[in-house]
Amino acid sequence: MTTAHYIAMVAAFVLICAGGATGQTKGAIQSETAPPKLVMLVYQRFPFDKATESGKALAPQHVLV
Amino acid sequence: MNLDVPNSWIVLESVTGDSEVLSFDPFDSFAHIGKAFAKWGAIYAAHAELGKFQAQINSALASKRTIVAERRDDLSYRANRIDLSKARFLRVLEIRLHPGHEREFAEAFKGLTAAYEKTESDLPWVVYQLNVGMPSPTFFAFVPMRTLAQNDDLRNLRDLLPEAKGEAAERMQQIARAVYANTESNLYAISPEKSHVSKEFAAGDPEFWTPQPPAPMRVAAKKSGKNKPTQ
Repeated sequence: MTTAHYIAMVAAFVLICAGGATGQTKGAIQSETAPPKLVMLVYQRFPFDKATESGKALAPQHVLV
Repeated sequence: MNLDVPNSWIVLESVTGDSEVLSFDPFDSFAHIGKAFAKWGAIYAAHAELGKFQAQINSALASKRTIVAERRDDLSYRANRIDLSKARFLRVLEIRLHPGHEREFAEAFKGLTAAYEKTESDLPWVVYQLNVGMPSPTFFAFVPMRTLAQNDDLRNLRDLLPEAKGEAAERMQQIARAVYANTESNLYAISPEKSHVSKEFAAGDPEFWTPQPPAPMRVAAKKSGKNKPTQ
């Protein structure tokens, strides 16, 4: 992975995380911090054991399933 | 740029097992997932640079697997006491069954829950059943933990469980032998800086989810006189 590649991935993460999350169901039975009714689990593996480094940009990755 | 994103996610990094990153994305329903999916589509359409980032990320991935699972309160143990905002680690047990044995699995797990109730364990867990995304039937048990030391509590509980299970112990072992195709248990550490949670969620443990700026910045601010009390 090149440095430019890494920087771009971090930038993507920062870009996405700049805003607040909306779309949460208000007035749901469970509280905000309780286990959700549904969970989407996204398992991601990176080559060359780069998981920690690449993980900085993972947040926007999983939403495009 | 300030994006208004449609959902939250909690990023977990593997402590045991294969090196991987697991994103835990809470939703209320498939309709909720659908709305988020549509909104992300609009976000990407409006911000072409994100598509480039996405392509770069995809090119760096060795593998990716996405599944959706639904909560099973009847198989969980004191799940109503779980506060995910307080967790630092998640122990995840994945159980794959031979087809057609969900009923026996449910019987075994309800027996396990009853046994844990007798031990008065304060380590709650929540069970999810796979809905879509991988071979089924598959179940996931999540045990949120504040510290890894709580795994010692779990080990100690195992010594108490046979007695707590009573006559059901042998039946539960029979079920496990007959219906489990395989199981895998792993530990993950929660990464707050890579996660994105709501303000309400973060309020459950602000120091962890919204850490303060590094100390040098605060020192610099003091030296500049910004924090001097007014007279």
